[in-house]
Amino acid sequence: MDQDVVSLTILGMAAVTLALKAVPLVALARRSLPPVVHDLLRHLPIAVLSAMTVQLVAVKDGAPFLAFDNIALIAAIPTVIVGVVSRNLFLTIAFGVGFLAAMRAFST
Amino acid sequence: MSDNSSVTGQRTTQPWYRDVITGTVVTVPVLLVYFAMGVTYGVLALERGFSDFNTVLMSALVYAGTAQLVGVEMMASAVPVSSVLITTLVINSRFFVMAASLTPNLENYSLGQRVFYGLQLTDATFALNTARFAAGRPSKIEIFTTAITGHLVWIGSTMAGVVIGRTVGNLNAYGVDFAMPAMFIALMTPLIRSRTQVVVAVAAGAATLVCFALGFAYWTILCATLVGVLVGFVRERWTKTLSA
Repeated sequence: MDQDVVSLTILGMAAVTLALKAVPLVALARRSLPPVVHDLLRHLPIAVLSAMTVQLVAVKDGAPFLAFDNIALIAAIPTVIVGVVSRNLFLTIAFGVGFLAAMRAFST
Repeated sequence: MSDNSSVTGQRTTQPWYRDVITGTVVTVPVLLVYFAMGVTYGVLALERGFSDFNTVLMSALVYAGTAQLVGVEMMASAVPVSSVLITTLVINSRFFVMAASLTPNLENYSLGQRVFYGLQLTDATFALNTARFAAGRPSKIEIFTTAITGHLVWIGSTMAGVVIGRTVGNLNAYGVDFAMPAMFIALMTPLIRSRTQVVVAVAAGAATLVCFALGFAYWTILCATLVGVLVGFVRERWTKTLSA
């Protein structure tokens, strides 16, 4: 692998990413968003977090993976319950990681 | 009277270090996950033939977990640079929408502060900051503490990953690979307070599976997010019409 090409590709990726992250912050600076846009964007955090979670736990090799031997998917269920009940960021993460590690330990 | 109000952009008399502490405390759970993820990424990039320098360079400049992992895999299989860049654009397009949604909260931020803030925007800081902005007016110092500690931990953990990759190897047996989904669940669940929000989460999740089943791959997150947002919007309009 040519490391110089990798470096340049990384610079390109950084430029693309920074443009996506910073352009709205600068371009929309002096404009207030129309109420409709505001009503739409209100749902954004939950929608994006849910999509990212499902992609991480219920997709494997680019296809849905809904099965009992998908331990990440199984671990996600009690983790959601702990999150809903506790509403505590740290506790929920620690529970999820611990639960999955325990499942792996007992399944082998 | 405190003389730091012009710096923090806030009418508090809190000394600056209190905001640094608040910013750090609210970010700690995310920092732990970043650490786990950064190590995972570092180990993977080395495995795929990245030099130490390029592994860390990517974390410092790109700073977007999913795009970094996909980028490493693509470069390792010698895909043309143009398609790596287009894929990055598609995967990270969600940040464009997130930034647009955060903009109204940044009224009193200067141009430089906005660009700096944008540089350090991630899924997790977006969720954290949205919650903080909704709860009141967090000071700039607090917001930038979250941003900077997150980025530093990401870079530092990548360096740790480079070292661990050489000595220990894969950490997945310890549940480290579940840290990222667990973090997204932990960030999402406290935000859900109404039936509409449950519907949004389910719709976006279901749309993710449909998109993958249809073979959308890298477009999935953007498409599924838009489906969730639209479903929430329509449902709210619908209930308003019914009750009016």
